[in-house]
Amino acid sequence: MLKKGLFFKNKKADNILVENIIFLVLNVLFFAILIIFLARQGQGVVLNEEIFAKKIALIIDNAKPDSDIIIDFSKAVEIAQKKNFDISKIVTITDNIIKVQLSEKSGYSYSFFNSVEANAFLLDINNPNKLIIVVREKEANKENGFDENQ
Amino acid sequence: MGLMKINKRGYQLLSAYWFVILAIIAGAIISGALLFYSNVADVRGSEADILSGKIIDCVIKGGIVNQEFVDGNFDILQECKINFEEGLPEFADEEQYYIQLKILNFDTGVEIRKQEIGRIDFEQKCLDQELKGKIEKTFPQCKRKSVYSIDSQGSKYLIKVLTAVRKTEKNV
Repeated sequence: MLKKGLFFKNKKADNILVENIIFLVLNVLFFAILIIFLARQGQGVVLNEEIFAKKIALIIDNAKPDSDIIIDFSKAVEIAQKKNFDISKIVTITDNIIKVQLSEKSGYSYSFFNSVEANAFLLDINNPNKLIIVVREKEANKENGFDENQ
Repeated sequence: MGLMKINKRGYQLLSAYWFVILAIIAGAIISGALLFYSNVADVRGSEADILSGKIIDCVIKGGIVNQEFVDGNFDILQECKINFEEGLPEFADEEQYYIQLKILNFDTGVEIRKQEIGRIDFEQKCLDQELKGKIEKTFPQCKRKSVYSIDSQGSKYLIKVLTAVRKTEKNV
């Protein structure tokens, strides 16, 4: 007498089918996780924080004092808004360190070597697609009388 | 009956082997993705380039070389407004930059003065990469520039700048 299975009356056939279904499901799950991981790598918070922090550092390094540089910041703002992060706090500059943060639990810092005072803020909070980077001479340099044109 | 048992064991063995293959393929794909995106974010070459340009702009103004530099009374960091102090904890334990500034007599090629700041051992690492013709990711990234200039008396000089940026923890 053949025992009843889940799908077939033939238990052996039923076992083979169940094993194959599990095998296929595991494969699909595996590839789905892999594809999601790769997709997130390209659009990820972490990668964009790093890119923007380094971009701003290079801009400041290359800038002369009394420069104002405006860059397109829409991608960073878009990510921060999706993560419900305050867009006015995306970029902070302390001494010679830039920190770009696009979500509460992340952040990327990078340093620059130009001895200047630098600040960065959104050009217009109502249309926050542009970031302005303001580069000024350091107060210490001014007091000592250092002059770019010497 | 015996044949069915052998086939079932073989089938189970193949399933385990299949997942090992999948794991190897996944590892290769993930490594490739990480390698690609880490390459995109390595900015040390650009930093070294900007640093060398900044020094040249500082030492030579309007085609005339700074006389204090020729005479040896030149503080590169202060005059060129460069700050090598590292506030990041990843870089706190060691210097991340190197500058080498040489001034040579343009006609004779004789070195008049040489100034170095930062990690002096980076010079050899730069040479090693140049000799191999290959950039080593774990080595500092280097940039060389040479510029012809004259002083206020019309004497001709060749200014050579070598800059190197390490910052491996944030770029590799």
